[in-house]
Amino acid sequence: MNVKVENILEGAKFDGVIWDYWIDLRLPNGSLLNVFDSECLSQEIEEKSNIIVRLKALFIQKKENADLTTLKGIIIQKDNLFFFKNDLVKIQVNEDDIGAEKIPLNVLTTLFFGRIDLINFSAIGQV
Amino acid sequence: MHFGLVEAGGKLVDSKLIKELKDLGIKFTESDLKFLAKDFDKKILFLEKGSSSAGFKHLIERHWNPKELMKYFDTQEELVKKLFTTIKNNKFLTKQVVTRNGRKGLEYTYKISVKGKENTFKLGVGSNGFIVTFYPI
Repeated sequence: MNVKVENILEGAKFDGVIWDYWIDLRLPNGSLLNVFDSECLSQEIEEKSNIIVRLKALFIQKKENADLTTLKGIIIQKDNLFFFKNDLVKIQVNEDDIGAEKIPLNVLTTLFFGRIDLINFSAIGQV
Repeated sequence: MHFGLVEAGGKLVDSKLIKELKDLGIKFTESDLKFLAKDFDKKILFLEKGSSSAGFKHLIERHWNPKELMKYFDTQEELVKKLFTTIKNNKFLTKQVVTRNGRKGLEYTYKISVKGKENTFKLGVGSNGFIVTFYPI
């Protein structure tokens, strides 16, 4: 999915070592999505640049919770992986959550997301 | 002020480990300790109050929310005790030296059983044993 990197903030930091980052991604509709970068991929990302990202949710649930990120879309399966998908985002999700929450595939559903993690990225135009 | 409690698995703040840490020449603030525990390899890890960037304060400010740690632990005290007993009694899944900005740290993953389910957590530790960060993965 294509996004614009708005802000990159340092997360944990100790003795000169930065352990992780938090990134605000601007989605095509203008909304912001805050994601966690535990692998410090952000060190290679420039603010205000447009990139292609792969994201993964820590967990998803059907039970409404205003403190979680709310998204409406469908769950699809590709090979052995499961993804939440709508017009704006595609986020890998845990198979266990789909089973535990009894979330149907390919049916429009409102879901509530835990932390969303950056898995990898590429600059627009790069393979 | 630390909890100063005696858990089933031992004291959260053990004076013997404090002495060992001092003997190793590692700097820490005793009154800010939440716990000390030896990992499977007998390295002393310690959780201090810390700051917004590292330690207990960082865990709470950055990761104690419904999207992360609050999903797995009901209270901050439960989090501290579970982390303590896990480090003390369980073998980590992985332990590796990570080099970032030319400096080294330790990255652990642990399985912790919470609410009837095993979940995986990452623990970031400075080379001196100071717990920098902890979050579910």
